[in-house]
Amino acid sequence: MMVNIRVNGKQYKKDIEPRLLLVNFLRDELNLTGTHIGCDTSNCGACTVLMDGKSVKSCTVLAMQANNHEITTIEHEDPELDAIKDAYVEEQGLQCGFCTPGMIIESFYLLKNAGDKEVDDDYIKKNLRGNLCRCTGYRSIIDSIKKANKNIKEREEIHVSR
Amino acid sequence: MYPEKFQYFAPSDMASLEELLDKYKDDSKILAGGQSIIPLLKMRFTSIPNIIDISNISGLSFIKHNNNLEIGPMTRTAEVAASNTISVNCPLLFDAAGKVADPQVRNMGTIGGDICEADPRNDMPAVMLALNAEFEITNSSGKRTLNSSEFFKDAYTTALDSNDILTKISIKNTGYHGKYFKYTTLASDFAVFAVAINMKLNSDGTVKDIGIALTNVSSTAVKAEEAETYLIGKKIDDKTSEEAFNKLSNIIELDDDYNGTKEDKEKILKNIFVKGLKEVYGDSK
Repeated sequence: MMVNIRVNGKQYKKDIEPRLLLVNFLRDELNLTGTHIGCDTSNCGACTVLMDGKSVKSCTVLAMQANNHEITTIEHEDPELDAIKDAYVEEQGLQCGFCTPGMIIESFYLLKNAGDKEVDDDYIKKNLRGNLCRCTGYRSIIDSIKKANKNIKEREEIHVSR
Repeated sequence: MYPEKFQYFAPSDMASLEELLDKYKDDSKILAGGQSIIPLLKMRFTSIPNIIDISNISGLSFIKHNNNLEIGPMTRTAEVAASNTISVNCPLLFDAAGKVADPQVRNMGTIGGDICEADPRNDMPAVMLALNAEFEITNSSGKRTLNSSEFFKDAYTTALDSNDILTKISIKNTGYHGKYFKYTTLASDFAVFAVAINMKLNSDGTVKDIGIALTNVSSTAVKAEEAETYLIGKKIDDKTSEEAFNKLSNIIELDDDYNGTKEDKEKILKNIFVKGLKEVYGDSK
């Protein structure tokens, strides 16, 4: 069946089997291998991508369900996403790195949707519930997200003052 | 992991959906968000020759409150968990929706899918039972209404026929106090068990109306009717809440499993149940 999926701003039209999962569509059809397959059972969140700006587990979404929708993956070029990646490096928010693409996309989502809420430990933990990391113990991940939040806010202030 | 092969349909209106369901009957299944059915298909616990995605049908996603609270089946769990209308009128549903799985699953999963899939570990069946919700069911021959208490038959089994579509969830019991007490292990977001409580008091502090239902203590969500009847007209304290727990013995079937022994689980469930009743009672006063 034909699908039309916009991924990271680029439109793709492909003929696929209906049973193809979104994560396999991204990795095998588009060669965007930044999105990882972890547990493959909707638990670990390594496969997290954004669909129309909302985070979903791409191992539990059919590529057909993404037809005519917009997907954002870790490969997306965006200054805010870059700021989060930098913060993960600065705060060592990863060890083996396998969960990291999902962690970063979910971090991107939770920071974008924080609104007036303070990005504190509670908010981060609550919103990172769908992402598992078996290396870091999460402390450095939480610190990375706080650092990213600070960096993004500071950058916005610089933009405003200029 | 791949599901077995299937045909995929994404009708854009109710008439085409009804036609497909009439054609394929038991060989078809409706796909809402897919957060329960896709894992089952991937692990090959089930295989469905014809999958019918209803996300392109407009008018199935809404939250309205006039006299009743009305919710469309395709409303995403995350939307329910963020809705001011639901937070004000139905705190039990609001609380429970925010405790379903994790943010990613809530973004994709729908309230109707959670109900119709009727996994014994799903949260919405017990919440619907505690709320005494009514379901509008549509098929090619017309509409009918079913009460939640006659809907959940067994694990993954409901009163829906193969060509039925859940088209509206109605909740009359609004303006109650309520909470969803969910006990999970860290590794999984499915409930080991959970208790849904919806309560309204008389001015003298006695219970005017109460809805109680439990998740994952049996092969399907169960309504604690005996405990509800017992508590009406009473004040809730240590004694009455423990007595209410004793009234559950006919409906709960706990077994030893990887979450713990039967005895341990009973102890934890009792603790959650009694504390939960007292907490919602405290909120209601």
